[in-house]
Amino acid sequence: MLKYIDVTKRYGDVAAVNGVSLEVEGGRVTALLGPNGSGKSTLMKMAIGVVKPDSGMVEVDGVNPAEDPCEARRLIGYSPEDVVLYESLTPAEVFSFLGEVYEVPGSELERRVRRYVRLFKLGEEMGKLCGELSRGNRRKVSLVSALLHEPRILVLDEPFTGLDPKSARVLKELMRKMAYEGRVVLFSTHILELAEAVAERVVIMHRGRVAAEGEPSELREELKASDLEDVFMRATGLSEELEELVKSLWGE
Amino acid sequence: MWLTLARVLAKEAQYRARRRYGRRAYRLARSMLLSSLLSIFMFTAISLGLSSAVAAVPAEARVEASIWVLGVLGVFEMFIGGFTMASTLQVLLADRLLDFITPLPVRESDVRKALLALVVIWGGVAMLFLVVPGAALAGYLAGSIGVFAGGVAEAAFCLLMAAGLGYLAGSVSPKATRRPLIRAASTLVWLLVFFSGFMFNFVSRLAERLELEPLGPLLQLTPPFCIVAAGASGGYAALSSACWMLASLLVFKAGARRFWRAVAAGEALLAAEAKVSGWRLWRGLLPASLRKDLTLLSRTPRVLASTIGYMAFPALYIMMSLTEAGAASRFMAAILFFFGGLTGLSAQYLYSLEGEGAKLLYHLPVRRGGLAFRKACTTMLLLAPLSLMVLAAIGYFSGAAAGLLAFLSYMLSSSSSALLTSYLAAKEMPDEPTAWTPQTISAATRVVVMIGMLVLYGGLAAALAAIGFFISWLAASATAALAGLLLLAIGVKAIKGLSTPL
Repeated sequence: MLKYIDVTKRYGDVAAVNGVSLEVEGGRVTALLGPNGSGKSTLMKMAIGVVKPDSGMVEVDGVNPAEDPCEARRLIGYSPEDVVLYESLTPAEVFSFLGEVYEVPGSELERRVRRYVRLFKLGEEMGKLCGELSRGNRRKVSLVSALLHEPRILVLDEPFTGLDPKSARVLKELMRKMAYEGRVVLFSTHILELAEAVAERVVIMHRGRVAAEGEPSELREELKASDLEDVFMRATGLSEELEELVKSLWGE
Repeated sequence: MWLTLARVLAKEAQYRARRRYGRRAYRLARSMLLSSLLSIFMFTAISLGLSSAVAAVPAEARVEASIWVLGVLGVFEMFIGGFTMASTLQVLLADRLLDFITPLPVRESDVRKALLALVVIWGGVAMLFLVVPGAALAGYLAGSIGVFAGGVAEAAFCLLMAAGLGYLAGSVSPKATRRPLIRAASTLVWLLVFFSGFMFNFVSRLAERLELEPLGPLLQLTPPFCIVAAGASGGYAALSSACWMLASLLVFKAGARRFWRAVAAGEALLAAEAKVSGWRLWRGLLPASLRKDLTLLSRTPRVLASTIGYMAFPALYIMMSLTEAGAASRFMAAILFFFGGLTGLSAQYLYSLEGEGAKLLYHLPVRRGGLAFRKACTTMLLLAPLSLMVLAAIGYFSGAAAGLLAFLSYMLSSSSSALLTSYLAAKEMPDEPTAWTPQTISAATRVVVMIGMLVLYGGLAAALAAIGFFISWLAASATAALAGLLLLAIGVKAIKGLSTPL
């Protein structure tokens, strides 16, 4: 289980995350929604100990990543929003390196890599340097990197960005399958339809706080909203602001 | 328009080159022209300094001396000019800086002009000052207007050749990571750059010998010497000069065309040219993390050249000392120990090698201690061939027993130094995910580490020299081996204690 207990993170005067308490359980896919700068990525980075909370605590299957980030990173498969790879290594070389870091035995690594290469249609890209790959293929390599050690907790920051529809579909199924196996699956997205299609639970962040959380159908009912976009707008209080923006746009 | 475009591109390319290669941190010159002015002053000083050697030659030999000096300066101009232009242009391509410009309503001719201005105004034009002031001085000292005119023509055509070569190298270098042949050539060029100090040394020695050796007729025909020779005396040198000028023009034209093709095709060209065979995961005895470092190193010619230079220099010095004194000499243990210590400092290069990929390490279960140990192991692995060469040389000159003991002290001192350097570097790496460049560790810290290691290994080497002098080479070698072992144990203990994660 991934647990946030009253966590706060400030950058100067700005509270990126402000007193968030959240439990992300295994067995279902959880989507983290929110406008830019709402604290989604900060919250995810806290899980692998890259960002340490100023107060509060994060628990990754009982491990505090602020104290033992290495252990937390062993449990988590993390794919960041901005893909980071070795530009002058090929995906095959990157996976070999990651296999050693995560202590995946050689034959097992081979099996897993072949499986994901087939799923994401990466075969032709495996011998190219990562620096030569397109944005979408770089994303795929980053996703496979997060999945290679078959983590108990999967944390994916904007994983659908740049993916073609086929690969997006594969990823959705993979996330569902992993959740079905009892793993924790948390991902962030701006695409509300995606969240609605994949996630069984939605957490809406706004200005560093949890504005709403629950199953999409529950939230719709609770906020008397027609769809998830409506839920999002109501929960974040953006509907009025947006209406004024749209009016001003047409008035120009 | 094209001038604004050139200014923007020059600033951005220079900024990125500095960030990537760690030249003077991230600070930009307030004005691009100002940074050229600084180069102009520097080159003028070098040019006048070297040309003043002509004054030391008898009056009747001054024309010949001028041809020598100006010719060598012309070679420098080509070399430094080509290198500067190539490094700026390759950043333009590798970082796809022009991808931002191409969708804008900017005429192709303006982009071409901007690229030309980029290499000529910012960087290129300053190169002329390596030759022109020297030509004026040499012409005055030799009393020949032909020397001056020849020098100016030489400077212009060397610049043209440098620009052509810069264009060619700049357009090819983004592929250097993939193609072994280009990588090897690039590494060789970088090695030449790092050892260019020796070339200046060569010129100053040459100046001393000018009086003794008359200029051969072959040199009068050799470009770029032939241009000044043609200015001074005409003859066959003029024919050779004409050929050289034509060649410069052709190289420039070909280079510009090749570069423009790479710019215009951009990503598509790179992708199309990337021929990919099959793939397979790394298997075998060599751990993947070490293999990763070796692969990155082999695909980064600049860092590879620095590492080779750092490692080879002490080993070469040791072998030179061996031929003179033999391993059983009283000071050999001290020399081996000291230079072994210097060699291990090359471990620091393996950190900046990570580049942008370092950010990935922050997401992985990697501890600083483990990282430091792996980097030290890679350094030792790289050192192995050199160590074997040293062993063979010691064995040849001094016999097996003396050789083995001396070799042991060299191995232990270089390994301990690699461990200690790696430990200090791993400790200094930032806590936040950052790309690691040569600037990641501050210059002050690097200097302190360097001085600290020099004091440590230098001090111990002095003590070993004293033991060798007052007792025997055997005692010195045994003490060196012991000291190396002790430092190795300290290094291992320090790394084991470094359990903090990245």
